[in-house]
Amino acid sequence: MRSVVDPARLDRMFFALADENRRAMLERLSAGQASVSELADPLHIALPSAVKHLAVLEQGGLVRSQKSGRVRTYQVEPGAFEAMESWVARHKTMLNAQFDALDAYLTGQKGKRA
Amino acid sequence: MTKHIPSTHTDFVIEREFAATPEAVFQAWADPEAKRAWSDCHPEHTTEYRLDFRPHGHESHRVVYPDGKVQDIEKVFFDIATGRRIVFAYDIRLDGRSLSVSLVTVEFFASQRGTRMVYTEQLAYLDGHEDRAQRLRGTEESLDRLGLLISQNGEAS
Repeated sequence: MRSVVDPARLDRMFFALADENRRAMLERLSAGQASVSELADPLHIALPSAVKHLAVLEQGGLVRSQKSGRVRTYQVEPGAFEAMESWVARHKTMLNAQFDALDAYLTGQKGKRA
Repeated sequence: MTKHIPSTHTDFVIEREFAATPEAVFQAWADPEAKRAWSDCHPEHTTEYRLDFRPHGHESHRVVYPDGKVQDIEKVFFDIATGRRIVFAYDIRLDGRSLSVSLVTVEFFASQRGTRMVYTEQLAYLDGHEDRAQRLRGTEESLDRLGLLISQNGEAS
């Protein structure tokens, strides 16, 4: 194999994305870099809470941070959405949607037999 | 000639619990009508669907999107153990170009709720097939859908 994506890395990435505030931060950062307070304010969350969310995004490989003076700014990790991650994310989303439909189908079958 | 972009590989597992017997869940994969009912995300755009559920049998699914793009999914079953296991390989082609090729094992285990289904996919992603803009747009869409699914599924892991 020429290159392999670590499944644990994908897991950390999916975990980082599994939160509304973190997705909102990522969306804001996709428009350009921002400081912690610039990210926390529109979400009406406290700074320590924003710092925790940003740490999860950083561990997930989705953002990177830089400290200049007393201000830490965040930006989207340029290589975060490599082709395959993006493809696998879409693919897994589709499979999960199918399995939701399978669940609904099986529930419906049960109703028919009863 | 286009430049050779190395293929990349990964694997992932999706586990789901269903309130139905392993036989019933297996049957939903085996029966063409049932399979199509839950697995076709674009029934309005599907132009071809066939399922020949037996070892070395094929499942073929063609979708023609409103923008004219044609997606083909071709699947070959290798191992079928009734009520227990299905092993298949498949590829996804967009306008004739192969995007990815996968080997999948689906296993059904009796559980307290009914069935625990374990879906394991090993995937080879071929020559980076999309330009960057398409990719980013796709990622945004998938994030939206992912968010929707996660909010629907609550804290399910």
